[in-house]
Amino acid sequence: MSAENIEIVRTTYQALDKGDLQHIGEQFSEEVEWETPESLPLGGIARGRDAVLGRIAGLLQLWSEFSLEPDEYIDAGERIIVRGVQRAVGPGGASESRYLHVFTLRGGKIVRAEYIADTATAMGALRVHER
Amino acid sequence: MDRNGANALIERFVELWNAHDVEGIADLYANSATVRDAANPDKVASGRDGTIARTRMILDGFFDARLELLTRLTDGDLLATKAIHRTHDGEFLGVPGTGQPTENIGASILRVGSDGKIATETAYWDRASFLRQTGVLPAVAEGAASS
Repeated sequence: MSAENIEIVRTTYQALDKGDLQHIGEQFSEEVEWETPESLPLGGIARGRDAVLGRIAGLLQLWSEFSLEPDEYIDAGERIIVRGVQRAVGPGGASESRYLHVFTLRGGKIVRAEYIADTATAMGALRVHER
Repeated sequence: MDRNGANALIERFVELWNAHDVEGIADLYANSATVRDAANPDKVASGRDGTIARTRMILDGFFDARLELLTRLTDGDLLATKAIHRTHDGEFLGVPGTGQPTENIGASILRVGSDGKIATETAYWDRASFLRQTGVLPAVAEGAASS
């Protein structure tokens, strides 16, 4: 099951890279939770597939360029940990930060995703404090 | 390292952290260990001296620093933990003590060598959250970017 879980997460990343929200949503359970640092706009916990997809769509709109580039998928059973680099360009310039993405899967669907990263450079690139 | 050994190590790690036992924490690391902060990846703490200096740097900033293990992920020699620090009463990241209570949730990936010691650690946390909680950065405005 763990190999399948890694493939589901990998597929989600590929869909995210294409901005393919429908394909991303197919990997989620109805009750999926998506947590990002509260220091960012759109931060906090989104609950439910529609809310999470709305959050992701909003996130992509914040940036003129955005990518999550996974370096490693770590298999921890029902959890898959992804280590990678986020690169993005916002109105204040480019940002790059190393992140940890912890996915929890049950029954072949993502039920929770938690994103842990330093958001300082992203906040600057989004001009959060100039709003 | 098997799952039981990994679990015992992470429990000992948290116990020593919460006792602020700097030498004991260092004993959990291999002499050649490296500790990397993902928020500042170019700065690496190496060896016993580096590990001790990094631990002291955190404890100097938070007299009541406390780790709470919120999630434990074990995959062979890999573990992830989450941390919560407390009152910011000393200098940390160049910010003089503010007396502010802080909560920093993060995770560490620990790779354990065949000797049962931590060989590498990479810590992920939100530096901006700390700066916001201590007033160095303003809070995100209500409705900013319309969430």
